[in-house]
Amino acid sequence: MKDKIKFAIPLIILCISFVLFSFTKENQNDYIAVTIETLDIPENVKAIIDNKCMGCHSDEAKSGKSKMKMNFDKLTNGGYSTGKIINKLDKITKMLGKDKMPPQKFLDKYPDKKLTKDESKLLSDWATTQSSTMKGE
Amino acid sequence: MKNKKKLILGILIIIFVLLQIYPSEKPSVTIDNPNDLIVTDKVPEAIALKLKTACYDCHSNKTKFPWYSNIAPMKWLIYDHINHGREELNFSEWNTLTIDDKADALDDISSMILDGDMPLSGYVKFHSEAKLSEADREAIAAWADDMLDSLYE
Repeated sequence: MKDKIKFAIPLIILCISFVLFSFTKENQNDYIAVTIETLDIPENVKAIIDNKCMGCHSDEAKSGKSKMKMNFDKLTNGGYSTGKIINKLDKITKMLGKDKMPPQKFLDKYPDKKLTKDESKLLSDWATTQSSTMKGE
Repeated sequence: MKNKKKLILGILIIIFVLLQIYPSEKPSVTIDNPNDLIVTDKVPEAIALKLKTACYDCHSNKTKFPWYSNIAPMKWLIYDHINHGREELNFSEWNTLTIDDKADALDDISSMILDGDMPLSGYVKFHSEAKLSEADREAIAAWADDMLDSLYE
């Protein structure tokens, strides 16, 4: 009898996690639909992000901390929900406005990653516009 | 030799007493906070409890001061942390924030809690009840992410 219970428990857990897993999957799909529809990244903006930001802020980045705070891959692949995307866009505007990104320490090592004034403005204007659109302003 | 030891001890005691006299302002405590997050928004009880035990000492007006927070030099460090914590995010003033600022705070909560940045390890050392398990962290982050989303719905 005891053995039977022992055998049944993992089976039950497996079933429950399967059900939960299928639910979360469904939610993620919802987000993908929303994201692709609303977030528009023009080529010139994408080039800046790819070249100057993705080194630290992407799925592939080594640093866990910067990736945790901002992951550009998640902006477009459904990893972030709508509210999250809006806030991340606002954070881009905020950080660029304060000239905080890329960080000075990083630029000391890789001076070529510095954003030019034009690049910073382009990226920041794009983020502001996208965020306003998503907020329905 | 013995006298010398006594002298040093005496000097140390005098310094310690003088440190106590040095003025420093204790952060104020307000019990009734109508704009508090937990008062104004529906926060699940389990999450509210975690926030109160792990965050509210530095991120609200309802700080619970431990006995050693009255003794210099510890009190300077503690007061400084509380003032800085309230400046960054004060749950007691939650409802005075704009929607965008709330979103910003919720996103920071989520990433800092998941990353283990908060609560500060020095604080947890003295407040074992504030220690968050992996499950606690995931629950708080999930709540913050949900609430962030609900702001823009």
